[in-house]
Amino acid sequence: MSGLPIRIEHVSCSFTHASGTVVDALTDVSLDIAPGEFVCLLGRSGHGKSTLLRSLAGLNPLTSGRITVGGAAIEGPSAERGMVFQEDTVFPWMRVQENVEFGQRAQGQPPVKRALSARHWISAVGLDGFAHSWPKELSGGMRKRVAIATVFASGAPILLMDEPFGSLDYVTRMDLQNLLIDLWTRTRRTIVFVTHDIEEALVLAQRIVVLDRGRVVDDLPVRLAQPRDEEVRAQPEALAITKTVLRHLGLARPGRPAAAA
Amino acid sequence: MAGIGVTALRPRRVFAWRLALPDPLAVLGFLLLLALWQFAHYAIGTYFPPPLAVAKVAIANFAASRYFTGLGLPEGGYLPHLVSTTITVFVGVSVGAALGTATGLASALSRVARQIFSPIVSILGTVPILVAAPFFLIWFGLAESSKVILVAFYSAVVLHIYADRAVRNLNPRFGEYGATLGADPRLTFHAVVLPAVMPELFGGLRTALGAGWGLAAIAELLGALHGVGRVIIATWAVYDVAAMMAGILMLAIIAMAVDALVVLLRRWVTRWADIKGNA
Amino acid sequence: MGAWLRNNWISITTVFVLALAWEIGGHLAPTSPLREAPIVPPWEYVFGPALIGMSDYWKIQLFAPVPELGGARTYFGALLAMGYHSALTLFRVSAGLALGALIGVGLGLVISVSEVTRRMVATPLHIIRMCPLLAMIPLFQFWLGATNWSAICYVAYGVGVVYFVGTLNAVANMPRHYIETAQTLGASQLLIYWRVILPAIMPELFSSVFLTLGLAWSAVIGAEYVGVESGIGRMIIWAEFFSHTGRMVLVTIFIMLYSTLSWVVMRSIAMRILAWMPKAHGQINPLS
Repeated sequence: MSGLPIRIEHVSCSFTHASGTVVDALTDVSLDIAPGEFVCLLGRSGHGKSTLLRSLAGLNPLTSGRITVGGAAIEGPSAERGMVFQEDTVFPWMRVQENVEFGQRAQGQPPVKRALSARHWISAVGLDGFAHSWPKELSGGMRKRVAIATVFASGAPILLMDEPFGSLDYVTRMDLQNLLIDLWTRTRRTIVFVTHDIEEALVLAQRIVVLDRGRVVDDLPVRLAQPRDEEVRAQPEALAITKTVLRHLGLARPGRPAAAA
Repeated sequence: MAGIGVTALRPRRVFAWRLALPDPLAVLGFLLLLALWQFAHYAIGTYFPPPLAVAKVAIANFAASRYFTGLGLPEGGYLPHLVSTTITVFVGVSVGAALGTATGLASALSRVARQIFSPIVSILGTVPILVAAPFFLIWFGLAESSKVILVAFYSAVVLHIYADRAVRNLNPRFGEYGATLGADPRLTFHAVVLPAVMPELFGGLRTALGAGWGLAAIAELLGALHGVGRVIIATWAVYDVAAMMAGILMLAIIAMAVDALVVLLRRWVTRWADIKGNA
Repeated sequence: MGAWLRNNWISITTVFVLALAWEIGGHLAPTSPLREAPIVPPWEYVFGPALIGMSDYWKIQLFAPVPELGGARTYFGALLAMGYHSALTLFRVSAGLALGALIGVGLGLVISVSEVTRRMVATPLHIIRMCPLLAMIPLFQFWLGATNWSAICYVAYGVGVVYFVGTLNAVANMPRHYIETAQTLGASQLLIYWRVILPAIMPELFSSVFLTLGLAWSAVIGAEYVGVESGIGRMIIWAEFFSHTGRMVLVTIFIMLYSTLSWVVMRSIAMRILAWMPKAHGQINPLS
């Protein structure tokens, strides 16, 4: 898997509503993401995280600036940037096997090869035995695993995830976070992960990029060892990051003594 | 991979084709209907024949009938007319539905197509298709084809509206998901859009069928050589209510059978959908 | 205005092309000495001789000469004829719709009271729904004659069945928690029906409204085609009998106008009654 560096250069993105109001979703965002990094985009709702991710995916046009992947400017969605959405986008009219094969089918891979690859990834996400199930027979968390398997199976070197676990319950979310970290550690693909949950960012990211009202306000490296269980997350470095982020989000409690966090 | 197991049970294959047993209350309701009918006969008299009388007329004149020939109808009793109406509806709805689906899909996916079809469809959608019937009578005469064209026209409009609406209502995330997996427009169309709109298309098909029977019948009422409508006109002339009702009921039975088949087909084609028909 | 033209020029062109094609067809179509009008009447014929010919249908010796009895054909007579028959048809459509809606919804609410009645009604209702409405015109006219009242009853029946089924489905699909909330607040059964169930089923019922509008028009036109001796549907049949295609086209244009008008009226009523309804996420307005 060749690494593709991502360069986001002075990107701005504005939308005009039907009523005429102009919304500046992103203003002069610049970011470099090296191949194999796990980056979290963190921020309040509506402050540009999803817009940035979708622009990276090629689903939103840019008002100004450009995004290059491996040196080439992006011109729309492509298989090199796979995406996992918050909504359930697993195709309900295809069985799990066919879903996971879809990326390879789109790229013209022969049936046998993509079937084997699909089986491998279905197993990797822990859905052995469900290859011939219909998505309606699976729980929400299991369908998310299918989406993850699909995007890995398509071979995309860059994976974009837009609050993928947002609609799942706490326990399922933890299961899937562990799964994702495991898969990332084994394959070292680039992952750009949008979330509004600081805990989630601390569990997953090597780097947290904080967005506030469409601008990048901070870029924090997270140098904690994986796996990051509760003990690791309670360490002072982790707490420092949390407090910095809370401050950026405007949620820091003023006057609270530093020791009693 | 320790600890990343799936705690849900393995799926059991449930046989979804198990036919539901009839609801005893539904059977009771049907019997009550028959009873009400009989009672109405007692209350109203000869103008409202009882169920048995209607059944007798239906059976007696089903395949061969000197009574019908006496009324000026072609040989063969009800049967050839039932066949004629059924074929009219089948051919009309199939051709019309195919055409309408194609134009509806095109309308949703192409701006040019939508602009061409939208004025036509908005007019045809609001105006009862019956207004075309007399024109067809003049242009095509009493030929069978004018019936079929009427039904086809109506089915095309219905399916166009359903197909167009279904594609426009489709969650855009599916298309985006497919695009980020590398799907080109062709693959997106037949692997994503088409299966997704199937449930709605079946709804349109049932609607078109539902009205198709009536359209065929009235085209026949206005002047046709074959078809249940023709029989109804002939028996109306001699005030044979039982025969009129028999014709309508037999048509209804065929319509029910066809509708049940369509439902079965829909359940198989969209077996991936949950109960509400959504994903 | 300029933007609208620029965006929709293909649609406008399509309409013009179709009108032009009709005109050309009118001049190319064969005429025969046996027929007064060409098979495909060009527009100048429709708005000329056909228009004045409509006064043939004015049969009352009042306000205008009656051609049937030897009087002259006049534009005023044509106007009166159109107005009279249009009024009749429009009256039948509205009255039938109103009656059918009232009875259909009322009956539906009554049957929905108990699960038992609902299940009993299912099969007979299915059979009745499957009897093609338009095939039953002769039956209704046999029983009720070919009068105004019979036409209204016929429309009410066709529309009523749709509203009956619609109400049963709507009540069955209604979220239970509305009713339960009302009950925990101590509402009586009647109050629940009037203030909770009826408004809550309106959105689902309104999808039936546009269906029944089309159905009512079909039913009235159908009835006027077959036996009823007045109304604009009947005018088409009179014209068709003598192959007066120009008059047929004229009446058809009026039917289109009335139809579209009734849709617009329905939509504005619907918008007003359903003003409280929140738009579903990302869903196109179901009323459009």
